[in-house]
This record gives sequence, C-alpha cells and structure tokens, in this order.
Amino acid sequence: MTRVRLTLKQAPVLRVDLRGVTPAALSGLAPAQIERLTVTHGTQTLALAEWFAVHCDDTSDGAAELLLEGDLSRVDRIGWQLAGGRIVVAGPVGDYAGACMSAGEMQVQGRAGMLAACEMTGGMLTIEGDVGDHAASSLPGSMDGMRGGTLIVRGNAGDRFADRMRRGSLVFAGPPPALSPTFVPAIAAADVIWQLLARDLARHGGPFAWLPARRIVRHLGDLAADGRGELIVAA
Amino acid sequence: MTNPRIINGVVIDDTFAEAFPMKATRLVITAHNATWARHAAASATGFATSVIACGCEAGIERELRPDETPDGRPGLAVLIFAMSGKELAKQVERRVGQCVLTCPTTAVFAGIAEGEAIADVVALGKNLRFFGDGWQISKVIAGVRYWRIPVMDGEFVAQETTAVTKAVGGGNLLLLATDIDAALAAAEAAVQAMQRLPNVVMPFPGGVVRSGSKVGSKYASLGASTNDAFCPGLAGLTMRSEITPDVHAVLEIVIDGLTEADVGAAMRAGMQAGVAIGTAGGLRRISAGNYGGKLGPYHFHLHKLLGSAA
Repeated sequence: MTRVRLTLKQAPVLRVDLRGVTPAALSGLAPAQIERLTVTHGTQTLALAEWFAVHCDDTSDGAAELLLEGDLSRVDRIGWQLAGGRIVVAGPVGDYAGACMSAGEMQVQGRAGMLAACEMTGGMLTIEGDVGDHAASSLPGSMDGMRGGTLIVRGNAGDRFADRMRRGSLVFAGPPPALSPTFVPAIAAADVIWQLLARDLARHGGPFAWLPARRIVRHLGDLAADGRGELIVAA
Repeated sequence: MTNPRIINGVVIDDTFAEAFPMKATRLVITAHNATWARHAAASATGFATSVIACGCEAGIERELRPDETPDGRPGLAVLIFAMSGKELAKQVERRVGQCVLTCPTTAVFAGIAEGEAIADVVALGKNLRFFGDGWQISKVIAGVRYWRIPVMDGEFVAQETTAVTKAVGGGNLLLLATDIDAALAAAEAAVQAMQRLPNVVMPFPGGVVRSGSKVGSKYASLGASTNDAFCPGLAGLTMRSEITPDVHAVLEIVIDGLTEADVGAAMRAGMQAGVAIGTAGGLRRISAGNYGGKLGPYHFHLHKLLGSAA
C-alpha cells in the first residue's frame, strides 16, 4: 500500500483546513494529482502544493498511510472524519485534529490545538503532547461529545476535557482531575474488567506499560447525565 | 472379526468406532481462585452426559493458569457439545446463567476465537446482561464487547458471545476385563491419559459409561437400549454375545472432541493406557462401538490408530 508524505514548505499566514485529505482519499493518486487537490486558506481555495511537497512510497504493511511533516500548528481538521487508514503527524497540529473520526489510526507527535477528537466515534487517536481546550468534547452546539474509539493524551489537557462524553475510552497520562460532585466513589472491586482494559492499554507502552499491575481508584458518573461512565485513576 | 492384534496380552479388535458431527464451543471460566472456578465449571458441566436426555454433552477440558486467562486469574476451560447450533445456544445460556453467573467471583470468556472455520456464534453476556436490570454496562476492548453485570460480590464480567465450531462426538472404546476392579483400573487409566490431551472431553461420570447402548429396542418408544452383546450377564442368553468366559465386566469410554484428529488421538492414548495395564492387570480386550458404518461419517479404526507403533 502507498504512503503519502506531505512535508510543509512554508507556514500558512492564515489557517489551512485539511479536511478531506485522508489516506483513503489519496490512495491511488499520483503525486501530481495530490498536489492539485484543493484546501481552503482563509477565504481562498488553493492547491495543496502551495504549502506541501508531496512524495509517495510503498508501506511495508497493508494499511494506507498519510505522513505529515512540519509545524502544522496553523493546519486544522487533520484527520477530520477519518474512517480508515493511518495518519502520522511528525509535529504539532492545529484545531479539530481527529474530530469526528470513526475508524483508523492517527498519531500526533506533538501538541494539538483546540477541539481535538471532538465527537470521535471510533478508531484510535494518540497525541504525544498537550491538548488544548475542549478536547474530546462536543462540537459547538452539539448535545453529545465523544462517543466511541480511544483517545490517548500523553501531555496535559486544557479546559472542558471530555465534555459530554458518552462512550469510548479516554486515556490520559497527565495529573488526576479534580472530581465533580456528580461523580460518586465506586465501592466494589472491578479487577476483571480492569485487567482486560489495562492489558489492552499496556501495549501502547510508555506510561501505560505497567497499568495492569497498578492499583486503581474508581468513580462513577456523571450522575447529572445517565451516570454510566467511569473515571479510573491508576495509582 | 477378521484380524485382531494382541499387545501385552490384550486383544485389540479389528473394528472401528463410529462418530457423528456435532457443534461445540469452549468457555473459559475464571474466578478468585481455582476452587471457585472449579465449583462453577463442575456445576455448569453437570447433567451433561448424553444429548439423549441432557441437551448437551460437556466436561472440563483442563485447568488454566493465571497467565493463560484473559484476566490473569485462575480458571478452567470447559467444552460443550450439542447436536445443533440452536440447542448449543440454549444450553450455553442456561448453564452459564444458572451455574456460572451464580457462582461467586466468576467471569466467563469465549474459549474459541471468532474467525475462519467458525460456524456461528452464540450469546454469552449478550442475553445475560438483562439480569442487571438496566444497571449493566459494557465495554468494547480490542474489538470485543464485554458485559458488566452488577451482582452482590461486585460485577460479573461476561464476553458478549462465543464462537461455535463443528465438532465430533461419539468416539469410544470398550474395555473388556476379568472383573470390575480390573475394568475400573483400565478405564481410569485410559480417562486419565485422555484428560491430558487438549480439545476433548469424556462426558460420562468419571469419563466412563457402564450402560453402553445399542440402537433400537424391542419397545417401540425406546430409541436405544442396553448393549446386550457386551453384557456379561447375558452371555449364553443373547445370540450376539461378544463375551468370552474370562470377561466379567465391560466399561465404555465416550469421547467428544473438536476435530476428528483430536478424538483419534484420545482413543489412541486410551488404548495405550489400557495396553500398559495389559492382561496381567486383568484387561482382556479392547473393542469399539459402531452402527455398521451407516450412520456416522467418522470412523476410528482401532488398528489404524495404533499404527505400526505398539
């Protein structure tokens, strides 16, 4: 399968919206065709080649892959509605990273701006750095936020993290959050499900490698909204 | 009988066991410790000797170490066999619901992964979740859904479904011995040898059946009746007696397995254990039950199983 490599040539003056630029959309296209794909920049619609150099190689495994390189802090909606394949960003990203993704894998080797992973329904998104405000929450005006998939944040998070979360897993390596009074302590042990979860998360390595051996403190909530979620803090 | 072999004084009949296609699944039952896992497994596989009247045939396949189970706790693998996928689904739901869910500290997982060569899936946690009365929750981990049902010792975790695979039921050995002690010794040794093998269970009590049956009966309503040919008490009374004057007790071992090769391997191991006891231990002859080869597609020829070894 092909790996498409987009290397940032120059930082955009305004913000660039990279929606639609996904591994599936690019698969089968020649570099010249990819260069001619259009994205918006402020009020303009310009070709990708304006900001990115395009290269294609073959990947060793079967997945279609998109690799982005450079400081993409002003590039938004990377992985927007991603439904398959793999995106790797070697650098920071802008807003709405991985928002509304439903399948596939995305890895950001830097920090993400605001509204990362909003309304995610599936797939896996890993952010090595910090995430800005409203990460894993709802899109403005929406009743529900994240509802599936797994978001891993190895840095710190801003405000309104996981607002209106319905389903899915949020794995956070930062400091434990202050608890809202609408979360109640879980008295019963949940050793079995914790082992299943921890073993799955441990394969991401780093701070998660020893999760299965760690003691946990659980809280149940949010009682203000159905209350069937769970907050697990590993000691 | 055309061509018996004699090994260590034991006559091995030149005959075959006739076996049938079945549907099966494996469940992994874990618990706080091995004792409680065994309580659940023994209960769930109880009253499961024969599909004639038990709905399924089941048994404990083997113990599992904590490093072999999904949740890192001690456990047991059980195999359940039924004549159809539909009956299997019903049996699994009932047995897990009444015997595993109820047992302290247990969790239950599929013991066969869904994938190629899988005939179907049956519900595990999928239907049991309603016991949670609305407080049940589930989690999808690595593409598999687990249900968490609140109970008085915490929560009962059950994988949503387990896979059903085609299987083979009815492999068998008949052990003809000089007396009941010799027959039991041979049968116990054979069952012990078979229990060391994967993918098989011996569903009768202790793995052994004393009331071996034949197809048909003089009573119209009975489909099966005592295997008079192998009843020592009917020697001299039944025209088709297989009993010789030195045989006073016959016991049968029935084997259900996931594949033909598994059942054959178990029969071979059983025969080798019997032959090791030998005629000195009172075992005179090993035979097998069949229906003339017309009913079941799987034929396990005793001589072929022993091969040129022994």
